[in-house]
Amino acid sequence: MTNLLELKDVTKSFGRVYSLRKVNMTVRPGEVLGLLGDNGAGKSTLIKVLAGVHQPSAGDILWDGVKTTLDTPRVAMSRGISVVYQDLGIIPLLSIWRNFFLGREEEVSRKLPFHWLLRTSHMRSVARQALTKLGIHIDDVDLTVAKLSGGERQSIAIARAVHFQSKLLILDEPTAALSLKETAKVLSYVRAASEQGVAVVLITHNIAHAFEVCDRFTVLFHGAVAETTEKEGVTEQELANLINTGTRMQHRIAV
Amino acid sequence: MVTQEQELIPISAVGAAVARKRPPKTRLDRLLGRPESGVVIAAILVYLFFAVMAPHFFSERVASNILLASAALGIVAVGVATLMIAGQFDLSVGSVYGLSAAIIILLVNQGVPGWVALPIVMVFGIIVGTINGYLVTKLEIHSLIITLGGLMFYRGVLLATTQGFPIRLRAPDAFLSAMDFQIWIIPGPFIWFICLATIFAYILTRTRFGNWLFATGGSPEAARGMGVPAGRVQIVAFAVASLLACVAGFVSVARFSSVDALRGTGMELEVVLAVVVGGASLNGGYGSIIGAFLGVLIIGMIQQGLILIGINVYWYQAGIGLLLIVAAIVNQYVRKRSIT
Repeated sequence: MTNLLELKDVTKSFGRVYSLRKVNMTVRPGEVLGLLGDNGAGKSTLIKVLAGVHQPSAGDILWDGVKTTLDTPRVAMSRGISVVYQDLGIIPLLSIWRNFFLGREEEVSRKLPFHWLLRTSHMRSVARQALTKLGIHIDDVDLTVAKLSGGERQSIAIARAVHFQSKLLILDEPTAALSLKETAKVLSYVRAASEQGVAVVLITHNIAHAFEVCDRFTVLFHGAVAETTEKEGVTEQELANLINTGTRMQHRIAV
Repeated sequence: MVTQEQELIPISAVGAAVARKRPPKTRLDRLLGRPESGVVIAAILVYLFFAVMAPHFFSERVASNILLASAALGIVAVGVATLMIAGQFDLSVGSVYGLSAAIIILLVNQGVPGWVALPIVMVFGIIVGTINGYLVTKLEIHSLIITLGGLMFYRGVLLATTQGFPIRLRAPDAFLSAMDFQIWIIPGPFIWFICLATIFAYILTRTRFGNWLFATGGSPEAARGMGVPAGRVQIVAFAVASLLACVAGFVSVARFSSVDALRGTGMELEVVLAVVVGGASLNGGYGSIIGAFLGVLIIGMIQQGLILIGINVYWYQAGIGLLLIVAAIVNQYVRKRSIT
């Protein structure tokens, strides 16, 4: 099976500062890949490259086995890459359905006059159905997102990605700042998304959460890949060591 | 840490728990949560106040005066509301309004027909707005600075070219005269205002671009992340604000056939006032054209009403200032209600 996404020696530098050094990473269709690393390890830069926000300074991106460039977020979206940012990606003052369709609004058929008008009632009902399909029950899609809890916001972003047939869903720290109960919910939505055939890259530094839903892990350390491993081949402690030291060994750091 | 047990909660049950948590919204709640709710009540109160206090407030003449006084301000307010929802604002609209009126008069006096002069100032407006928008979004200079410069610059150009004297049309222009119509008690400029307000209310709530305007104003980074070209959206919004200022200039020339060098001075702040009274947020992402429309009407009513009551006109400013503060407090409450 070809990899959905493959990064080959992707490097990103800002002036003289290297954020990513020769990163090699693969994402398989339908899997949940945990992208782990401490703050400053390069996770954010890496997802911005995948989202089309940053262009790599060197290296190749292969999408479905074909070399590609992701020039803008719109291009990345059109390829089927959806990114759910930590607290971005959702506009608090907009209603649920407007957020759901943001950037992909549906207009009245081109054959009709005033074809640029939005199909508002259709969009409302589609948003409601898509949420229900993932097990999220929100009756009033006219609520502003600001009224929802952190977990519900994540769930809308996930439902949106699944509905628009994203092939790759990138979640940036989806469980940060969530209660235990909400975390469980969001992780269940991640599973639901992957069961519907969407590959998920889960960025987190919470190893427990990652262990719960991920099939494989890629650990970044100082901008480079420390290791990529199947879930079966690693323990939580070893993952923690990889994140902290870049190896499976637990180094004692001299003070 | 999440236990195995929690993970096994069926997804649907979890969702149901979410749904149960929130009490259903009543129709009243929904109504009060709209950005315009404060200004609707305010408009009714102001109207009732003057209806009781001011003689002849119901007369056709007074109504007509209110509508006429609101028209130019209103047309500009539609543009500024659009821009403010997109998260920016424009202090140069008053100067652009005055200058565009002068340009039309100068052109027509040179023998250019009115129907040619209109598109010329419209293009002028689009260029001015695009420059503003470009400087603000690409060079990331605050819109306050750029448009304050614009306010000074365009006013200075107007003062310099007219030498500070009023200028007027030397001969009537057929097209301009045709634009100066009146339907019943509604003067032509106000009909322009209604039409533009209706069109923009539709654009904002029922089109893709409108959705992008709100999204950009709400959070430019998030909007960009969803593929919305936030910078371009804001540039277009700047262009709209300047364009409508020029349209207002044209409409006022059609009505009054003259312009003095100080026309539109202070308008930029009056417009902000009307738009904010109408429920828009200075931070962007929240507001409505209908609200701005009513905000403008309130200002017009207060202006004319105070004259009718016979109160010294200097109290007008005091009254408007008070109105803004009260409205801002009410709107803050409304906004909190709709987002928490």
